[in-house]
Amino acid sequence: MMDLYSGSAAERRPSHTANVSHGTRLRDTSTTNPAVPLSTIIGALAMDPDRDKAEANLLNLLIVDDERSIREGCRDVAQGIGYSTYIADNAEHAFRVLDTTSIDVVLLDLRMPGLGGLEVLKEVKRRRPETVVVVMTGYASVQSAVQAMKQGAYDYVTKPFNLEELRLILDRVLGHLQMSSENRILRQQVKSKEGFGAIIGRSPEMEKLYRIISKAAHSSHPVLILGESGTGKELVARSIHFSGPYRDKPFVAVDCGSLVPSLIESELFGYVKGAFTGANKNKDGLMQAADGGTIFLDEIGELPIDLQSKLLRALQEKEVRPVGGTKPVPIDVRVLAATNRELEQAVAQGTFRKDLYFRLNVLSLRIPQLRQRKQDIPLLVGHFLERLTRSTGVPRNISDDALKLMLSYDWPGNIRELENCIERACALTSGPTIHIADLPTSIQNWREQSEPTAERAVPRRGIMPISEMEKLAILGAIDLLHGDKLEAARLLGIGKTTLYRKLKEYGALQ
Amino acid sequence: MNSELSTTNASGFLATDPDGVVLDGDGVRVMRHRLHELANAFTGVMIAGGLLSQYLEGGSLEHYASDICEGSERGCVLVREIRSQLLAARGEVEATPKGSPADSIQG
Repeated sequence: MMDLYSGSAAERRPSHTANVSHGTRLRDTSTTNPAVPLSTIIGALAMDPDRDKAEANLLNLLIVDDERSIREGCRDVAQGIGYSTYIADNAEHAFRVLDTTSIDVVLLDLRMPGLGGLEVLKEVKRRRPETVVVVMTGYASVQSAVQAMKQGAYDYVTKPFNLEELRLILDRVLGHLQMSSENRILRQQVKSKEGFGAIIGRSPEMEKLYRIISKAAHSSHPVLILGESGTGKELVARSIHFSGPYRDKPFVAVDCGSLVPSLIESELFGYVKGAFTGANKNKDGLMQAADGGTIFLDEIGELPIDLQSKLLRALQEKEVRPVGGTKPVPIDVRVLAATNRELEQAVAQGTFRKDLYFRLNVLSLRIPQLRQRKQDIPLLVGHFLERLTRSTGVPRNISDDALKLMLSYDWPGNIRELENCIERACALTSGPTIHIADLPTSIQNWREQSEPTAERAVPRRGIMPISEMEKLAILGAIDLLHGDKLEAARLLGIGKTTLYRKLKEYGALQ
Repeated sequence: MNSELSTTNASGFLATDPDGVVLDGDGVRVMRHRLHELANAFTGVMIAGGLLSQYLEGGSLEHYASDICEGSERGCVLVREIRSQLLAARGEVEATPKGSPADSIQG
């Protein structure tokens, strides 16, 4: 269940205000949002005519005002539009919220007891410059407005204001954020020059992925990361963790596929002294090590079925029971899981628990295969060459022919295969430039396969020209029917003249 | 705004003229503070009244919520008028937010 309303510093809205309308009947964000993959939400946004509300649903708004009635009124109105809201009655409280939550918009009273609104504005902008701040004041001189604007406020609203004025400003902020969302993504990419954080790629597929990662990072729900082997699932998991509010908390990665089955339970949940031979003292499990942060369960599809139920219980109850122990230990972890398997299929086959699948699949994202984003290959090659140049001190580059061949190759092992290919080529090459001869044989052979020949014009492995398929069908049918050409023509649905003409073309007419 | 108030330095009122009250620096500060409090109070009432009005829409109690909204709107008009006069007296210009017809801040 997505609960975008939550937050340690948030104050829950009284239930009686849940159904106030905003044009049409409002959604109560504290009770809606069923478990839906984030990709579905993002996809729906593109088509949803009521996109404003859906988009705002993913935005965190902090209201800072010492007047309770204003805080709560603004909160209810903002929730009606779909914002996830947090409130603070003074600067210190606001800072605590900012410490724990990634705030997108701040509605800020300029005049408060203690530290004033301008100080809060300065601090908000210092922590997260892209945060949109709207200042509210009861005495709107140009001087005070200019001062706030100079410090980075987006807009200015003068008290007293009414419901409609408040809605107008919140809608305007929403429009502004929607317009600048593309720019924000670009800025994030510019930060790393090549992609999102440590992820490399600027293809449309990757930009879409960054957008989803960015949204997932600011949520606390489990995320299921899907993708072929070598696509960078752990990198995506790390990006989600390190670009969200958990960034300062532990990130613990567990490869469920490489753990010895008999040790998985004690590794995950820990054990107590005497639980088994060699257990000389109590030991915390990886789930406890990740307490307060994120646990990344890689290759979750490989987890034995008996442990799946234990993991499910741990996630549901938010507690683990160490091996040999009797007392449960409370844990507070965000779970990210990844697999290259089709879990739905595994569920259907009974090798993966359905309830665990649903528990992990609250949000899901699929990483594109490298062959789906070949335009990123030069960027990736450049990145790996630059990294090797840095580590070895020897400048490296690649010939046009070699890069061209790499662009035509399908990379079944994805980024990992590409990375290995570059490392190997750098190790083998005698000069600073990588040539085709330095590439692995599998890729060089691919060139031979992919180059068209006079006899057999097959441009790609696995793809057969229609003329070739036609030839196979005709010759196969005649063979199957022991040379009965008339019957073959009838069954193939072509005329006998056509059949004979084709056989003549093939040189198969006897 | 006619007033029979006499000059009292303690409260910041300097003098009375036929058109209104002239304030010194302290008087302006006091008035600004009071206006801020009034604006805060009216904002809370207007938002709560607006929400209540929608919540009670079509019901027998709706007119009470409407009365709250109308009354607070009238109060707001007064607050804005006083603030404009105060700003004008100090030679200041009132700020207007983005999107308003007189968007002088962003210009």
